[in-house]
Amino acid sequence: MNLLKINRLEFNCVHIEDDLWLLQTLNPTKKSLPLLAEKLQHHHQDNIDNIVASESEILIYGAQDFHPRTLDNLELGWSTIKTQAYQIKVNLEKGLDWELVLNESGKTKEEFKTMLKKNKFTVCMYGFRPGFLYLNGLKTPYQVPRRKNPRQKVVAGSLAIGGKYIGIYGTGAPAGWNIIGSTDFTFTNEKSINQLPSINQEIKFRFEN
Amino acid sequence: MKTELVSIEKYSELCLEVSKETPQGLFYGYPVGGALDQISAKPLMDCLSDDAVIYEVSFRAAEIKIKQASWLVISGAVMDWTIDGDSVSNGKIVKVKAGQTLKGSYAKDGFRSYVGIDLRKPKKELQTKRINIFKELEIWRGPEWNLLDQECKMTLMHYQASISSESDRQGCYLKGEKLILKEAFPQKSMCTFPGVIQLLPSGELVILLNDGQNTGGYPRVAFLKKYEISKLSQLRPGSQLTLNLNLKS
Repeated sequence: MNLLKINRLEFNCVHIEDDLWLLQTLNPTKKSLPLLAEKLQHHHQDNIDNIVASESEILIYGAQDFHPRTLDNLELGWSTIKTQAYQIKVNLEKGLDWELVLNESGKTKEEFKTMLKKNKFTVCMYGFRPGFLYLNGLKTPYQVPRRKNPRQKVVAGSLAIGGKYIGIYGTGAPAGWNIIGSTDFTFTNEKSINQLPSINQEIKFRFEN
Repeated sequence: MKTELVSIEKYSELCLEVSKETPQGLFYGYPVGGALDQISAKPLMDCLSDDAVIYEVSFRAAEIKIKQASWLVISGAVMDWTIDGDSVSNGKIVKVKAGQTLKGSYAKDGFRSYVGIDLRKPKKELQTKRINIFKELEIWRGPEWNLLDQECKMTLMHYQASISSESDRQGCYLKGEKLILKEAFPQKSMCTFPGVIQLLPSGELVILLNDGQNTGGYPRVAFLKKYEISKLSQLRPGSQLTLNLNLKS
Protein backbone atom coordinates (compact mmCIF):
# COMPACT_ATOMS: atom_id res chain seq x y z
CA MET A 1 0.00 0.00 0.00
CA ASN A 2 1.60 3.27 -1.11
CA LEU A 3 -1.14 5.89 -1.09
CA LEU A 4 -3.76 6.76 1.48
CA LYS A 5 -6.07 9.62 2.34
CA ILE A 6 -6.69 11.04 5.80
CA ASN A 7 -8.85 14.14 6.29
CA ARG A 8 -8.84 14.38 2.48
CA LEU A 9 -5.07 14.85 2.42
CA GLU A 10 -3.13 12.43 0.24
CA PHE A 11 -0.12 10.65 1.71
CA ASN A 12 2.61 8.47 0.31
CA CYS A 13 3.04 5.66 2.81
CA VAL A 14 6.58 4.30 3.28
CA HIS A 15 7.11 1.14 5.33
CA ILE A 16 10.41 1.61 7.19
CA GLU A 17 10.30 -1.71 9.08
CA ASP A 18 8.03 -3.89 11.24
CA ASP A 19 6.04 -1.35 13.20
CA LEU A 20 7.36 1.86 11.68
CA TRP A 21 5.54 3.77 8.92
CA LEU A 22 6.33 7.16 7.39
CA LEU A 23 3.43 9.11 5.83
CA GLN A 24 4.53 11.93 3.51
CA THR A 25 2.06 14.48 2.12
CA LEU A 26 1.89 14.37 -1.65
CA ASN A 27 0.99 18.05 -1.96
CA PRO A 28 2.01 21.04 0.13
CA THR A 29 -0.73 21.90 2.59
CA LYS A 30 -1.46 24.70 5.02
CA LYS A 31 -3.25 22.22 7.27
CA SER A 32 -1.31 21.24 10.37
CA LEU A 33 -0.08 17.64 10.28
CA PRO A 34 0.93 17.74 13.97
CA LEU A 35 -2.72 18.56 14.79
CA LEU A 36 -3.82 15.64 12.64
CA ALA A 37 -1.21 13.39 14.27
CA GLU A 38 -2.50 14.27 17.74
CA LYS A 39 -5.99 13.28 16.66
CA LEU A 40 -4.78 10.05 15.04
CA GLN A 41 -3.03 8.94 18.20
CA HIS A 42 -6.03 9.88 20.31
CA HIS A 43 -8.48 7.94 18.11
CA HIS A 44 -6.18 4.93 17.65
CA GLN A 45 -4.68 4.57 21.11
CA ASP A 46 -4.93 0.79 20.90
CA ASN A 47 -2.96 0.33 17.72
CA ILE A 48 -0.64 3.36 17.59
CA ASP A 49 2.07 3.30 20.27
CA ASN A 50 3.68 6.58 19.32
CA ILE A 51 3.51 9.27 16.71
CA VAL A 52 5.90 12.00 15.56
CA ALA A 53 4.90 14.78 13.19
CA SER A 54 6.53 17.51 11.15
CA GLU A 55 4.90 19.97 8.76
CA SER A 56 5.00 17.48 5.89
CA GLU A 57 5.22 14.03 7.49
CA ILE A 58 3.72 11.79 10.13
CA LEU A 59 5.80 8.94 11.56
CA ILE A 60 3.79 6.16 13.15
CA TYR A 61 5.12 3.59 15.64
CA GLY A 62 2.33 1.07 15.32
CA ALA A 63 1.31 -1.52 17.88
CA GLN A 64 1.63 -5.17 16.96
CA ASP A 65 -1.37 -5.45 14.63
CA PHE A 66 -1.29 -1.98 13.16
CA HIS A 67 -1.57 -1.44 9.42
CA PRO A 68 -1.96 2.03 7.85
CA ARG A 69 -4.83 0.83 5.61
CA THR A 70 -7.01 1.19 8.72
CA LEU A 71 -6.42 4.95 8.42
CA ASP A 72 -7.40 5.22 4.75
CA ASN A 73 -10.31 7.61 4.09
CA LEU A 74 -10.50 8.54 7.74
CA GLU A 75 -12.21 11.86 8.52
CA LEU A 76 -11.22 13.22 11.92
CA GLY A 77 -11.87 16.91 11.36
CA TRP A 78 -9.49 19.63 12.50
CA SER A 79 -9.03 20.86 16.04
CA THR A 80 -9.95 24.37 17.02
CA ILE A 81 -7.05 26.63 17.86
CA LYS A 82 -6.48 28.38 21.16
CA THR A 83 -7.06 32.08 20.53
CA GLN A 84 -5.18 33.39 23.54
CA ALA A 85 -1.50 34.07 22.87
CA TYR A 86 1.15 32.29 24.96
CA GLN A 87 3.55 34.79 26.52
CA ILE A 88 7.30 34.14 26.61
CA LYS A 89 9.85 36.52 28.15
CA VAL A 90 13.00 37.05 26.03
CA ASN A 91 16.48 38.40 26.66
CA LEU A 92 18.66 38.82 23.56
CA GLU A 93 21.85 39.57 25.49
CA LYS A 94 22.68 35.89 25.96
CA GLY A 95 22.74 35.11 22.24
CA LEU A 96 25.86 33.11 21.33
CA ASP A 97 25.64 33.45 17.56
CA TRP A 98 24.80 37.11 16.93
CA GLU A 99 27.93 37.75 14.89
CA LEU A 100 27.10 34.96 12.46
CA VAL A 101 23.36 35.77 12.39
CA LEU A 102 23.90 39.47 11.68
CA ASN A 103 26.52 38.72 9.02
CA GLU A 104 24.31 36.18 7.25
CA SER A 105 21.14 38.28 7.39
CA GLY A 106 22.60 41.77 6.97
CA LYS A 107 20.19 42.93 9.67
CA THR A 108 20.90 44.67 12.98
CA LYS A 109 20.16 43.29 16.41
CA GLU A 110 17.63 46.08 16.90
CA GLU A 111 15.83 45.01 13.72
CA PHE A 112 15.67 41.44 15.03
CA LYS A 113 14.24 42.72 18.30
CA THR A 114 11.55 44.75 16.51
CA MET A 115 10.73 41.78 14.28
CA LEU A 116 10.35 39.45 17.30
CA LYS A 117 8.07 42.01 18.99
CA LYS A 118 5.84 42.73 16.02
CA ASN A 119 5.60 39.57 13.92
CA LYS A 120 3.11 36.81 14.55
CA PHE A 121 4.66 33.47 15.52
CA THR A 122 2.78 30.21 15.99
CA VAL A 123 3.79 26.78 17.26
CA CYS A 124 3.93 24.58 14.17
CA MET A 125 5.37 21.41 15.71
CA TYR A 126 7.11 19.84 18.69
CA GLY A 127 10.00 17.43 18.46
CA PHE A 128 13.76 17.20 18.41
CA ARG A 129 14.04 17.16 22.23
CA PRO A 130 11.46 17.15 25.05
CA GLY A 131 9.67 20.48 25.10
CA PHE A 132 11.34 21.91 22.00
CA LEU A 133 9.03 24.35 20.19
CA TYR A 134 9.20 24.99 16.45
CA LEU A 135 7.66 28.35 15.58
CA ASN A 136 6.50 29.51 12.15
CA GLY A 137 6.40 33.13 11.11
CA LEU A 138 10.05 34.05 10.59
CA LYS A 139 10.24 36.25 7.47
CA THR A 140 12.79 35.29 4.80
CA PRO A 141 15.29 38.17 5.41
CA TYR A 142 15.73 36.96 8.98
CA GLN A 143 16.19 33.30 8.13
CA VAL A 144 19.71 31.95 8.72
CA PRO A 145 20.93 28.42 7.88
CA ARG A 146 21.71 25.94 10.64
CA ARG A 147 25.29 25.79 11.95
CA LYS A 148 27.73 23.58 10.06
CA ASN A 149 28.84 21.91 13.27
CA PRO A 150 26.30 21.49 16.07
CA ARG A 151 27.18 22.68 19.59
CA GLN A 152 27.48 19.89 22.16
CA LYS A 153 24.97 21.57 24.47
CA VAL A 154 22.93 24.72 25.02
CA VAL A 155 20.93 25.56 28.14
CA ALA A 156 17.19 25.17 28.58
CA GLY A 157 15.25 28.23 27.48
CA SER A 158 17.62 29.13 24.62
CA LEU A 159 16.04 31.00 21.71
CA ALA A 160 17.37 30.03 18.30
CA ILE A 161 17.02 30.43 14.54
CA GLY A 162 17.32 27.40 12.26
CA GLY A 163 16.42 28.11 8.65
CA LYS A 164 12.77 29.13 8.42
CA TYR A 165 12.00 28.40 12.08
CA ILE A 166 12.39 30.09 15.42
CA GLY A 167 13.14 27.42 18.02
CA ILE A 168 12.93 27.38 21.79
CA TYR A 169 14.86 24.73 23.71
CA GLY A 170 12.63 23.56 26.58
CA THR A 171 15.50 21.43 27.91
CA GLY A 172 19.28 21.56 27.52
CA ALA A 173 20.32 19.82 24.31
CA PRO A 174 22.92 19.63 21.54
CA ALA A 175 22.17 22.47 19.15
CA GLY A 176 22.69 22.92 15.43
CA TRP A 177 20.72 26.17 15.43
CA ASN A 178 21.94 29.74 15.93
CA ILE A 179 21.37 30.89 19.51
CA ILE A 180 20.13 34.49 19.67
CA GLY A 181 18.94 34.76 23.27
CA SER A 182 17.37 33.19 26.31
CA THR A 183 13.76 32.88 27.47
CA ASP A 184 11.86 32.01 30.62
CA PHE A 185 10.41 28.92 28.88
CA THR A 186 11.47 25.57 30.37
CA PHE A 187 10.18 22.04 30.24
CA THR A 188 10.85 20.05 33.40
CA ASN A 189 9.28 16.62 32.91
CA GLU A 190 6.27 14.76 31.50
CA LYS A 191 3.99 16.81 33.76
CA SER A 192 5.07 19.91 31.79
CA ILE A 193 3.33 18.54 28.67
CA ASN A 194 0.03 20.00 29.85
CA GLN A 195 1.64 23.43 30.15
CA LEU A 196 3.02 23.45 26.60
CA PRO A 197 1.48 25.91 24.15
CA SER A 198 -0.76 24.06 21.70
CA ILE A 199 -0.01 23.41 18.06
CA ASN A 200 -0.97 26.54 16.06
CA GLN A 201 -1.19 28.67 19.23
CA GLU A 202 0.30 32.16 18.87
CA ILE A 203 3.47 33.02 20.81
CA LYS A 204 4.03 36.58 21.99
CA PHE A 205 7.58 37.58 22.88
CA ARG A 206 7.93 40.05 25.73
CA PHE A 207 11.13 41.97 26.40
CA GLU A 208 12.25 43.28 29.75
CA ASN A 209 12.39 47.09 29.87
CA MET B 1 11.27 -1.08 44.74
CA LYS B 2 13.81 -1.25 41.94
CA THR B 3 16.12 1.34 43.46
CA GLU B 4 16.53 -0.77 46.60
CA LEU B 5 17.74 -3.78 44.65
CA VAL B 6 21.21 -2.52 43.74
CA SER B 7 23.52 0.47 43.99
CA ILE B 8 26.17 1.49 41.46
CA GLU B 9 29.45 1.92 43.33
CA LYS B 10 31.82 2.75 40.44
CA TYR B 11 31.69 3.84 36.80
CA SER B 12 28.01 4.74 37.01
CA GLU B 13 28.49 7.14 34.07
CA LEU B 14 28.95 4.11 31.81
CA CYS B 15 25.88 2.38 33.15
CA LEU B 16 22.32 3.20 32.09
CA GLU B 17 19.12 1.62 33.36
CA VAL B 18 17.02 0.58 30.36
CA SER B 19 13.33 -0.15 30.34
CA LYS B 20 11.42 -2.94 28.62
CA GLU B 21 8.33 -0.75 28.48
CA THR B 22 7.05 0.95 25.32
CA PRO B 23 8.42 4.51 25.16
CA GLN B 24 5.97 7.37 25.57
CA GLY B 25 5.80 11.02 24.56
CA LEU B 26 7.69 10.90 21.27
CA PHE B 27 5.23 13.48 19.91
CA TYR B 28 6.54 15.96 22.49
CA GLY B 29 10.18 15.28 21.69
CA TYR B 30 11.01 12.35 23.96
CA PRO B 31 13.54 9.92 22.44
CA VAL B 32 12.78 6.25 21.81
CA GLY B 33 15.40 5.22 24.40
CA GLY B 34 15.80 1.61 25.52
CA ALA B 35 18.56 -0.90 24.89
CA LEU B 36 20.65 -0.27 21.77
CA ASP B 37 21.56 -3.91 21.19
CA GLN B 38 18.17 -5.60 21.05
CA ILE B 39 19.76 -8.87 19.91
CA SER B 40 21.46 -9.16 23.29
CA ALA B 41 18.96 -7.29 25.48
CA LYS B 42 15.62 -8.65 24.32
CA PRO B 43 16.13 -12.33 25.29
CA LEU B 44 17.39 -11.12 28.68
CA MET B 45 14.36 -8.84 29.12
CA ASP B 46 12.01 -11.63 28.05
CA CYS B 47 13.23 -13.95 30.78
CA LEU B 48 12.98 -11.37 33.57
CA SER B 49 9.94 -10.07 35.43
CA ASP B 50 8.60 -6.52 35.02
CA ASP B 51 10.18 -5.59 38.35
CA ALA B 52 13.72 -6.48 37.27
CA VAL B 53 16.45 -3.86 36.96
CA ILE B 54 18.28 -3.97 33.64
CA TYR B 55 21.44 -2.00 32.93
CA GLU B 56 23.20 -1.30 29.67
CA VAL B 57 26.89 -1.11 30.56
CA SER B 58 29.14 0.40 27.90
CA PHE B 59 32.90 0.16 27.41
CA ARG B 60 33.84 -0.91 30.95
CA ALA B 61 32.08 -2.88 33.66
CA ALA B 62 30.46 -0.89 36.42
CA GLU B 63 30.77 -1.98 40.04
CA ILE B 64 27.28 -2.97 41.16
CA LYS B 65 26.46 -3.78 44.77
CA ILE B 66 23.56 -6.16 45.33
CA LYS B 67 21.31 -4.96 48.17
CA GLN B 68 18.79 -7.81 48.29
CA ALA B 69 19.03 -11.53 47.60
CA SER B 70 18.12 -11.82 43.93
CA TRP B 71 18.90 -13.44 40.56
CA LEU B 72 21.43 -12.24 38.01
CA VAL B 73 21.66 -12.76 34.22
CA ILE B 74 24.12 -11.11 31.83
CA SER B 75 24.23 -10.84 28.02
CA GLY B 76 26.04 -8.82 25.35
CA ALA B 77 29.69 -7.81 25.37
CA VAL B 78 32.22 -9.90 27.25
CA MET B 79 33.39 -7.96 30.33
CA ASP B 80 34.72 -10.82 32.48
CA TRP B 81 32.02 -10.27 35.09
CA THR B 82 32.57 -11.70 38.57
CA ILE B 83 30.42 -11.76 41.69
CA ASP B 84 32.68 -11.57 44.74
CA GLY B 85 35.46 -13.03 42.60
CA ASP B 86 33.45 -15.89 41.07
CA SER B 87 33.12 -15.77 37.29
CA VAL B 88 29.66 -15.11 35.80
CA SER B 89 29.31 -16.22 32.20
CA ASN B 90 26.82 -14.74 29.76
CA GLY B 91 23.38 -16.29 29.77
CA LYS B 92 23.78 -18.20 33.01
CA ILE B 93 21.28 -17.63 35.85
CA VAL B 94 23.13 -16.89 39.08
CA LYS B 95 21.65 -16.58 42.57
CA VAL B 96 23.20 -13.62 44.41
CA LYS B 97 23.13 -12.58 48.06
CA ALA B 98 22.68 -9.16 49.64
CA GLY B 99 26.06 -7.46 50.05
CA GLN B 100 27.78 -9.18 47.12
CA THR B 101 29.46 -7.02 44.46
CA LEU B 102 29.44 -7.47 40.70
CA LYS B 103 32.64 -6.34 38.97
CA GLY B 104 34.27 -6.78 35.60
CA SER B 105 36.79 -5.57 33.06
CA TYR B 106 36.87 -3.37 30.00
CA ALA B 107 34.73 -4.78 27.16
CA LYS B 108 36.60 -7.48 25.26
CA ASP B 109 34.27 -8.85 22.61
CA GLY B 110 31.73 -6.14 21.87
CA PHE B 111 31.06 -2.82 23.56
CA ARG B 112 27.80 -3.07 25.54
CA SER B 113 26.87 -5.59 28.18
CA TYR B 114 23.37 -6.09 29.64
CA VAL B 115 22.99 -6.90 33.31
CA GLY B 116 19.60 -8.01 34.63
CA ILE B 117 18.87 -8.33 38.36
CA ASP B 118 15.53 -9.71 39.48
CA LEU B 119 13.95 -10.73 42.78
CA ARG B 120 12.15 -13.54 40.96
CA LYS B 121 14.00 -16.44 39.39
CA PRO B 122 14.29 -15.88 35.60
CA LYS B 123 12.17 -18.18 33.44
CA LYS B 124 15.06 -19.83 31.61
CA GLU B 125 18.75 -19.53 30.76
CA LEU B 126 19.58 -17.50 27.67
CA GLN B 127 20.23 -19.43 24.48
CA THR B 128 22.51 -16.83 22.87
CA LYS B 129 25.54 -16.88 25.09
CA ARG B 130 28.22 -15.75 22.69
CA ILE B 131 28.22 -12.37 21.03
CA ASN B 132 28.99 -12.01 17.32
CA ILE B 133 30.72 -8.88 16.07
CA PHE B 134 29.68 -7.68 12.62
CA LYS B 135 31.60 -5.00 10.79
CA GLU B 136 29.37 -4.99 7.72
CA LEU B 137 25.97 -3.37 8.14
CA GLU B 138 23.07 -3.24 5.73
CA ILE B 139 21.48 0.13 4.93
CA TRP B 140 18.36 1.12 2.99
CA ARG B 141 17.73 4.17 0.82
CA GLY B 142 16.41 7.08 2.88
CA PRO B 143 13.77 9.65 1.90
CA GLU B 144 16.43 12.05 0.56
CA TRP B 145 18.59 9.44 -1.19
CA ASN B 146 17.87 11.01 -4.57
CA LEU B 147 19.41 14.31 -3.50
CA LEU B 148 22.83 12.64 -3.66
CA ASP B 149 24.64 12.86 -6.99
CA GLN B 150 25.43 9.65 -8.86
CA GLU B 151 29.02 9.47 -7.59
CA CYS B 152 27.95 9.84 -3.96
CA LYS B 153 25.24 7.22 -4.44
CA MET B 154 27.89 4.82 -5.70
CA THR B 155 30.12 5.67 -2.72
CA LEU B 156 27.31 5.06 -0.25
CA MET B 157 26.49 1.67 -1.77
CA HIS B 158 29.66 0.32 -0.13
CA TYR B 159 30.71 2.96 2.35
CA GLN B 160 33.78 2.43 4.48
CA ALA B 161 34.20 4.51 7.60
CA SER B 162 35.37 4.50 11.18
CA ILE B 163 33.31 5.33 14.26
CA SER B 164 34.23 8.71 15.75
CA SER B 165 35.00 9.04 19.44
CA GLU B 166 32.27 11.74 19.63
CA SER B 167 29.66 9.00 19.26
CA ASP B 168 27.23 8.24 22.05
CA ARG B 169 23.68 6.90 22.48
CA GLN B 170 22.32 9.91 20.60
CA GLY B 171 24.29 9.42 17.44
CA CYS B 172 27.10 7.46 15.84
CA TYR B 173 29.35 9.86 13.92
CA LEU B 174 31.22 8.33 10.99
CA LYS B 175 34.61 9.34 9.65
CA GLY B 176 34.71 8.45 5.98
CA GLU B 177 34.65 9.93 2.50
CA LYS B 178 32.68 13.17 2.51
CA LEU B 179 29.47 13.24 0.50
CA ILE B 180 27.69 16.16 -1.13
CA LEU B 181 24.18 16.90 -2.30
CA LYS B 182 23.52 17.62 -5.97
CA GLU B 183 21.06 20.38 -5.04
CA ALA B 184 20.29 22.59 -2.04
CA PHE B 185 18.14 20.99 0.59
CA PRO B 186 15.22 23.06 1.92
CA GLN B 187 15.68 24.21 5.51
CA LYS B 188 12.74 22.37 6.99
CA SER B 189 12.53 19.84 9.79
CA MET B 190 11.29 16.31 9.20
CA CYS B 191 10.66 13.15 11.18
CA THR B 192 13.67 11.08 12.23
CA PHE B 193 14.00 7.75 14.01
CA PRO B 194 16.76 5.51 15.41
CA GLY B 195 18.82 4.27 12.49
CA VAL B 196 18.34 7.28 10.22
CA ILE B 197 21.58 8.35 8.52
CA GLN B 198 21.77 12.12 8.19
CA LEU B 199 24.17 13.94 5.91
CA LEU B 200 25.64 16.89 7.81
CA PRO B 201 26.60 20.16 6.06
CA SER B 202 30.25 19.17 6.63
CA GLY B 203 29.72 16.16 4.31
CA GLU B 204 30.00 13.66 7.16
CA LEU B 205 27.37 11.12 8.14
CA VAL B 206 25.72 10.59 11.50
CA ILE B 207 23.54 7.60 12.37
CA LEU B 208 20.89 8.64 14.90
CA LEU B 209 20.51 6.17 17.76
CA ASN B 210 17.89 5.51 20.45
CA ASP B 211 18.53 8.68 22.48
CA GLY B 212 18.70 10.84 19.37
CA GLN B 213 16.30 13.51 18.25
CA ASN B 214 12.97 12.59 16.63
CA THR B 215 12.84 15.52 14.21
CA GLY B 216 15.69 17.10 12.31
CA GLY B 217 16.62 19.18 9.32
CA TYR B 218 19.54 17.37 7.78
CA PRO B 219 18.82 15.15 4.74
CA ARG B 220 18.08 11.51 5.56
CA VAL B 221 20.06 9.80 2.85
CA ALA B 222 19.76 6.25 4.20
CA PHE B 223 18.75 4.26 7.26
CA LEU B 224 19.53 1.12 9.24
CA LYS B 225 16.89 -1.21 10.61
CA LYS B 226 16.80 -2.23 14.29
CA TYR B 227 18.79 -5.45 13.76
CA GLU B 228 21.62 -3.44 12.20
CA ILE B 229 21.54 -0.90 15.06
CA SER B 230 22.12 -3.82 17.43
CA LYS B 231 25.18 -4.84 15.43
CA LEU B 232 26.45 -1.25 15.25
CA SER B 233 26.05 -0.72 18.99
CA GLN B 234 28.57 -3.46 19.74
CA LEU B 235 31.31 -1.69 17.75
CA ARG B 236 33.53 0.58 19.80
CA PRO B 237 34.68 4.09 18.75
CA GLY B 238 37.58 3.78 16.33
CA SER B 239 36.21 0.57 14.77
CA GLN B 240 36.14 0.29 11.00
CA LEU B 241 32.85 -0.63 9.38
CA THR B 242 31.27 -0.96 5.95
CA LEU B 243 27.73 0.10 5.10
CA ASN B 244 26.27 -1.94 2.24
CA LEU B 245 23.17 -0.69 0.47
CA ASN B 246 20.29 -3.15 0.16
CA LEU B 247 19.66 -2.97 -3.56
CA LYS B 248 15.99 -3.88 -3.19
CA SER B 249 15.31 -0.79 -1.09
